[in-house]
Amino acid sequence: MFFEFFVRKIKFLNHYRNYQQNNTENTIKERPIKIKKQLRENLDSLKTILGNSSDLKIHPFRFGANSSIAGVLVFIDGLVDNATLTNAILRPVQSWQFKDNSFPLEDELISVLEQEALCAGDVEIVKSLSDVISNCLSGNTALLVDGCVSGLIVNTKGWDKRNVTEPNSETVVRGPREGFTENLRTNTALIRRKISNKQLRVENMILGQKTRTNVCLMYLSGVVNMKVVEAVKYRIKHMDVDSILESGYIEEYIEDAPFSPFGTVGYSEKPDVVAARILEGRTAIVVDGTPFVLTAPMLFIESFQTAEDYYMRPLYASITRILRFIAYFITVFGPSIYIALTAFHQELLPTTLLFTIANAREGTPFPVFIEAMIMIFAFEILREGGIRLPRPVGQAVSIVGALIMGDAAVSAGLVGAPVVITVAITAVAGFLVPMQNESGSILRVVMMVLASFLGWYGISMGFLALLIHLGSLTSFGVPYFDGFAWTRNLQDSVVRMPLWTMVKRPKDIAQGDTTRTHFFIPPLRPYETQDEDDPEGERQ
Amino acid sequence: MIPRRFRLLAVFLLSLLLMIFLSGCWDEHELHTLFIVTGVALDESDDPEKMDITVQIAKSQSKSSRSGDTEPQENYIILLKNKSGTMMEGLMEFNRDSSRTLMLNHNQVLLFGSSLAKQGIKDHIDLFMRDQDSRMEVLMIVVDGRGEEALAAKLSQDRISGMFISRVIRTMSSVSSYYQVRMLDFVSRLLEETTSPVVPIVTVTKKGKMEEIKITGMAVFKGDKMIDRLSNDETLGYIWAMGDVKHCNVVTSTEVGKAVFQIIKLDCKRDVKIRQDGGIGVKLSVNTTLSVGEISGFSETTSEELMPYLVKIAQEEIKRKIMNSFETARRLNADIYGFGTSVYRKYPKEWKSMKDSWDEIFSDIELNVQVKAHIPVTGQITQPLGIKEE
Amino acid sequence: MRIDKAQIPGVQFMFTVTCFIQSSSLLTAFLSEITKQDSWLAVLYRTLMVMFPDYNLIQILEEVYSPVVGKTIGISYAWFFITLTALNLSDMGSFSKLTLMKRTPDVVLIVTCMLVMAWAVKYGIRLITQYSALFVFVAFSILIASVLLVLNQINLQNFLPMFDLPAIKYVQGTHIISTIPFGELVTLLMITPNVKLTRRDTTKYLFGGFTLGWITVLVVISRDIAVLGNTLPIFTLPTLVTLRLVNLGEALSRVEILFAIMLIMLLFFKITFLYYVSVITVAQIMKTKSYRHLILTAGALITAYSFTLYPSPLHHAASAKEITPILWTFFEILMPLLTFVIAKLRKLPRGKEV
Repeated sequence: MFFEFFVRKIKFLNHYRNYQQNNTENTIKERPIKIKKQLRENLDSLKTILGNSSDLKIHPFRFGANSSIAGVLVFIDGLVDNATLTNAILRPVQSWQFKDNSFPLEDELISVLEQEALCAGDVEIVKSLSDVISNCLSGNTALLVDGCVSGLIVNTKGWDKRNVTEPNSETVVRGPREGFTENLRTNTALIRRKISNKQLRVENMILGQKTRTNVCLMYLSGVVNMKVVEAVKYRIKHMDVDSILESGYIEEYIEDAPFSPFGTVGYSEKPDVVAARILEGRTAIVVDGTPFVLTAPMLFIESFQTAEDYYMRPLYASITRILRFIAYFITVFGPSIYIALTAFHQELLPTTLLFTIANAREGTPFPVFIEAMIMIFAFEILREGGIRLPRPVGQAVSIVGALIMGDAAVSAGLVGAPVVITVAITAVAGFLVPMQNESGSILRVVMMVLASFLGWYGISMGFLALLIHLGSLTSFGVPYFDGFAWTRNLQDSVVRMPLWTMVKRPKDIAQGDTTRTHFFIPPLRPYETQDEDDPEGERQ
Repeated sequence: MIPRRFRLLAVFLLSLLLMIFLSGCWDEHELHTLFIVTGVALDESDDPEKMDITVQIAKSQSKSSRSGDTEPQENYIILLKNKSGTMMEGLMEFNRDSSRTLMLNHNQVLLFGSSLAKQGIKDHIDLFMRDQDSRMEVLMIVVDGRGEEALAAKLSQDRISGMFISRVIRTMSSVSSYYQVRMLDFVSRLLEETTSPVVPIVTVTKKGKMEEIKITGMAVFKGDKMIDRLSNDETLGYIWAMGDVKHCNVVTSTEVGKAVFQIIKLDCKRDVKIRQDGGIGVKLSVNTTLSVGEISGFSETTSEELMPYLVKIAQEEIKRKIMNSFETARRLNADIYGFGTSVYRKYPKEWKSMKDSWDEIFSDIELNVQVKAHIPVTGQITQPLGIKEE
Repeated sequence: MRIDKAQIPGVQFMFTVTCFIQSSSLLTAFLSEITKQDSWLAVLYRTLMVMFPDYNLIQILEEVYSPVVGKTIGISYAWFFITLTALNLSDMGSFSKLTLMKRTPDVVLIVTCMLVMAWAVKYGIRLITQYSALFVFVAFSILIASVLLVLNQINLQNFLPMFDLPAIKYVQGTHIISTIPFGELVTLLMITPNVKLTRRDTTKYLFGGFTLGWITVLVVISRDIAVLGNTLPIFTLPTLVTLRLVNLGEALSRVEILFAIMLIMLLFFKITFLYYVSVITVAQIMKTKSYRHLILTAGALITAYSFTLYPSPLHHAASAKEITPILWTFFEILMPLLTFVIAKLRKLPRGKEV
């Protein structure tokens, strides 16, 4: 019957999950190829494995002036920095003077190269061709010397990368304007600059069978909950994927509730945001090739906190935060409340407002639900189109959208003006909480459907179901939404209390050191002199 | 093949979902399927068993139908008329014969023709109290004449007469809340057994092509039957005796001059005592703050004597009006002030025996009115033009 | 044997109690004087909770009486809880139908509600009680807002005369108040193992919640009397009428939406809690380790039960005034008192420090 299709799919997913759990870490199941003494054999193997790629460069050199020791530089054009190649490798090596004119033996050759000849800082000895290949593909240069069974790898990474600029997705009025780039090392360096602490750990992993992407885990040992780190590592190691192109791939595999509209893994493009989260005891996952860094665990309240909240004064920050809560409420429940009030419970509208809405409804052909759906659909099309279109066309689209879809539709009598206004406010309110954009859009439609079937009762049931769902979500063991149940300190939830009141770190995220500061009182006023007996101002 | 239990479960779940989602639509009324009722009028009909019901409906204006500057009155309201025995039957007939459902939620006024009011209205308002749709803040009004005239009136100030009447009464209720008689107040006074409810009376007069609706006093009910009316002056006396008045005018006129005062605040405390012979003595202490609105005349008075004189005449005027109203009430034998309830609240035990003979006791009440007026400001000028300087 | 292993912090417990009592403030269709004498009920429950901190009610019964007698009484308590749930559910259905959705059949309203509640019960006591603080906060704000909005219509004279009713009505009124809202706190005895508190904390939180709930009921009834006066007894839902009368300017009118919000939230909380307690009771009696598979079955039973309880709302109201308080006295007052006395006589709990 019709359900057979679904039943088969569910069985397949189940089977696949069992298969996955029995799988071990995704390691490359190749046998390592050893470097042979004959240089020519090595080169032939290299060319075969890499398939005669035109950007694989093999440059022969002589080790030492006036010597007969032959060597080969292997690198991939475009990934290496030519200046480093020349200055750090070729020049010193080719002009090397052996001491007493004695040529060292094969085993010592490599160590002489490594420790005395080369002028580079990051040098490694490898014994297998697979390591040579993987390093070349990462942008390093390999030195192979005729007659040696080991090779040298020098770090010459230098490809074209984007500068550190202000991120497009998170702009601030006040605060640092640095954003992550697509380069893993730059990103970890940016975080290191924010937290120059000896407890900051960086653990590297390689994910993705085909793409071999570098992924770094960063956390503050002593503050972080090691169970969360272990959970993250466990989940990442059990990911059996062939490509990691963006951190979103990882997010989908490690999140707690794949079918929920709410994401339980956070992301950010700014280093100060990620650094603040690391300081609270979270783990950051930096992925090579994307500026979006993941943080785990994530709480619902974090979507309402922006970096700027902490740089502005507490009163205004609290007002803005309350505004964000109201905006999220409006964006999820706005159209559904309108539908419920005008189609089911007209007695709840004041009389003059009712006349206005009735006049607007008079000539329109569709029921309220269809009108609202049309307008929301139009808005989603505009929004998606606005992201994809090229810049020169942008003006035209905004004119088309605003005038034609809004004004002309109302004048023609297709939709009523109150519906357009409601949907416009709903849509704009959705942008105040960017991290919950997806969940807001989905829930908005679900609430509208509920409202059109059961009116205010439907909205209430939907709201309660939403609360239940939120309350049951956990993110890596931490409850996602505690519903203001006073189980953890509230200084940073609905309002942002001044920074000197946030004495402790949140208990369920940080397991180690939970004290941030020692004081609770506001700092001394500058014109008060310090008391001799009471230098820290504890006696007020 | 899927096992039987999965299929049964699927069918069950599907039917559950369908049941939930399809039956809510019973309650859905799209706005263009509703008639918004703004006024209901009940009148006496030629058929003694039945009454005339008129319903005023505010018509929604669609954008495309707006044309021209002068819109005739018919474009804004629709009047539906019916003859039936009870309110409920009338509503059912309306709903059966019209293209849309009547919605009583926004009903502003409930008008009674004076002849129907004289017959008793208790039975007719049962529907309005029982039905979930209508609200207890519907204003009760008696029309001098037939109720449907008030609903059909073409006014120059407002397009819908139901809204007009309710707005006027709400404005007047800022003067004193006793002008506004909602269904709740009416019922509350009916339940008190000895109090006579009062309801504002409106009159519809023709003025050229348009009509005018004016509030011309209060109708006095005994039980649920209307017996007589108070004129505008007597209404003022009633309002002042009930207390809590702001922004009202006291017009005085003596041989010496005319003065109009504005009441900033007026409070009236009542004190009931049982006399030796079993009757009731009521003492009304009125405490009021006035401001001088307009003075004319007073050319013989000195400026020193002016102030106390003004106070004296204001006090006399207030006392006179209150006594006047009370005499009218005594003549009608209608306890419009709620003295009975005051006695009940103070002497609950004695009330049980007095309740039945309240009519005689009321006509025998000793009323003692004491007014204390206080005039702090006289406006921008201190004395009228023409007053003699000392 | 612990069925549900979650622990609730003390503050949540307090708000749970408050929410529970507040939801009964909506049903005040009868005129009664609230007295402080109902707080002795709270003392009784607290003592039992403290004496047996790790046992829920059924286990207490089995311990104090012999296992057989205890189980029998336990089964009657299971019936009591299921009936309470069904009663409240039918209340919710009829209130929603009366105020919000007038023509929809009750079945739809009640079944939708039960489905959402079954989902909540699946997640255990922690989820159910974690929103109690939010609900209490919202209920209090609505309460304060409604009092402020009707201030211009309050007539303090409406409170006079006091103490005019015959004495028997007072006893009846107090009895009703003590059994219906406050006596239902006996259900708290079922979640005792989930609330790990010291003796002082238990007292503090139980009484705190009790006081907050009591204040709510008092304010609601006083406000209704002040605004409606002598018309109070003729209305089925006086709170709704009071809120309908709010009229500040032309825009701030028709705020009965607040009533609908409060009604649905508080009743939802109470019924979910009772539903959970019923399921746990049945699971405890049958000594099953997990109660998950009982949820939907119990839900179906309770739904069907709520339709067949009373032939009409009039019967319901009449029974609430006369029959139900007497019946509930057995479960809420007599049994705990008897259990306490017997436990003390048998010097239970053995070997535990008080």
